[in-house]
Amino acid sequence: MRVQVLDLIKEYDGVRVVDIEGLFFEEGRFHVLMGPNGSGKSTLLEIIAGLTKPEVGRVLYGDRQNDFASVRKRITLVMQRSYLFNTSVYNNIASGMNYRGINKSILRERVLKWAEALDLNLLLYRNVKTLSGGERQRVALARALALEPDLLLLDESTANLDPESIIIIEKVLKDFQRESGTTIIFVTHNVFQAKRLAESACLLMKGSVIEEGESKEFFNNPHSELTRGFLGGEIVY
Amino acid sequence: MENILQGFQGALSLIFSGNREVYSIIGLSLSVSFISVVISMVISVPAGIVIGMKEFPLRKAVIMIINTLMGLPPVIAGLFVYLFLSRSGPLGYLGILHSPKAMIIAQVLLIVPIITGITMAAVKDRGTLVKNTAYTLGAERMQMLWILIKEFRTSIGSSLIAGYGRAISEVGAVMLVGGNIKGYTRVMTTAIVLETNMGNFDQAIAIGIVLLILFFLINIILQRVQGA
Repeated sequence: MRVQVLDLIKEYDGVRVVDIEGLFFEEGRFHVLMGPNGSGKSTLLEIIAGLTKPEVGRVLYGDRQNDFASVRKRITLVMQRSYLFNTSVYNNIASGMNYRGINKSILRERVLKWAEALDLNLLLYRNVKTLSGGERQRVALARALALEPDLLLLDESTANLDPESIIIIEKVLKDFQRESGTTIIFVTHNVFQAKRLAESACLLMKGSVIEEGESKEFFNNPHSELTRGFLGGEIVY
Repeated sequence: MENILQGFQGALSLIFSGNREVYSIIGLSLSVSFISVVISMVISVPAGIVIGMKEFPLRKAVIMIINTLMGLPPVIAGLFVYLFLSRSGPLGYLGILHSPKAMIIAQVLLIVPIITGITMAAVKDRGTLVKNTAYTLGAERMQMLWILIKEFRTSIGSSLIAGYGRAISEVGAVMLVGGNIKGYTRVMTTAIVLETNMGNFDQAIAIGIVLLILFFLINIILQRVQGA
């Protein structure tokens, strides 16, 4: 599912946090949104996920330029500190499918498939309260992937995780995207991770797009001074 | 001291002999309080969730009013219900003053702020996160309400038990609007007041013991719900 962001403005208490004239996320690609803290990445993702409404502008989804309401059940978001329901790993992975009315046998099949892919099969009947941070985040990801969305939004989904969990999550995401053709928008401020994952990349600062482009071009030959500074590890505000 | 001991002996014999009057009073207390809690739950749980999570004009004022009403003196609640239901009151035509229905209305008035307040406080911090998670997973409005109730079941359960405790121990309001009519609106607390005034200490103590046992059971349930 492709996504078009048009003339978008979002303010909190009079402070403009997102101000984007136009941004286009092509269908079936792995997009990475980067930027320092407070650059508006998470807010933009929340707007795309329908959690926040912009003051001005709109987001259009798919070839037919649908509004959010008509595509809501084809989109899902994994947050940085995902909330897991107070029940077993199995029930958590199944929860989204239950809300979307997916048939029980398909549901079970998908739970087992994603639990195995994310190395959760030995934890399936444990309450999520007993899991580590990395395990919890893998459950949140399994829950999202089991929905087989057309648009998957990930907000710093591997931040503060152990290297083993990061490796598992990145591999699963790449494989899933390649096999399903799902459009992924991945928010991170980790440049190394962005390089590993991105097919196309975008840098946001103070709510505006500084630069966007194909991964190779973006990382090897950035046009903007600010992008060069950010990729070079300088603190840029 | 002798009076008290005799009272206890008489009370135990009343309880174990299956005295009809005592058991009808206990039965009415339990059922009136139960119905009050069920009605209050239907009103207060969704209200607490909405007030706790939604931003709307005058929200702070609404929260302040709820917090104030959590400590509403029962006699005042009873007085309001009495004035509304009395023959000359706006709802006098219903003819339900001095009936269990009037007692239920008074108890609901007392319990609604308690359940609303506790639910509201519980969902205030994490409620939006739960709601957003359910929303991004595709939950519809009613599903989201059910998810919130499930996720905050401990606090909501505690509020219901606290509400039940308040209802069953209440005396001022039910005395005013129920009238303490024997076999019709007489509940445990009003019966204790009456029997004590009449010098029937054995009956008052018998009902008091049952009330204490009930409180003990309510506390056990409360601790279980809270996982203590």
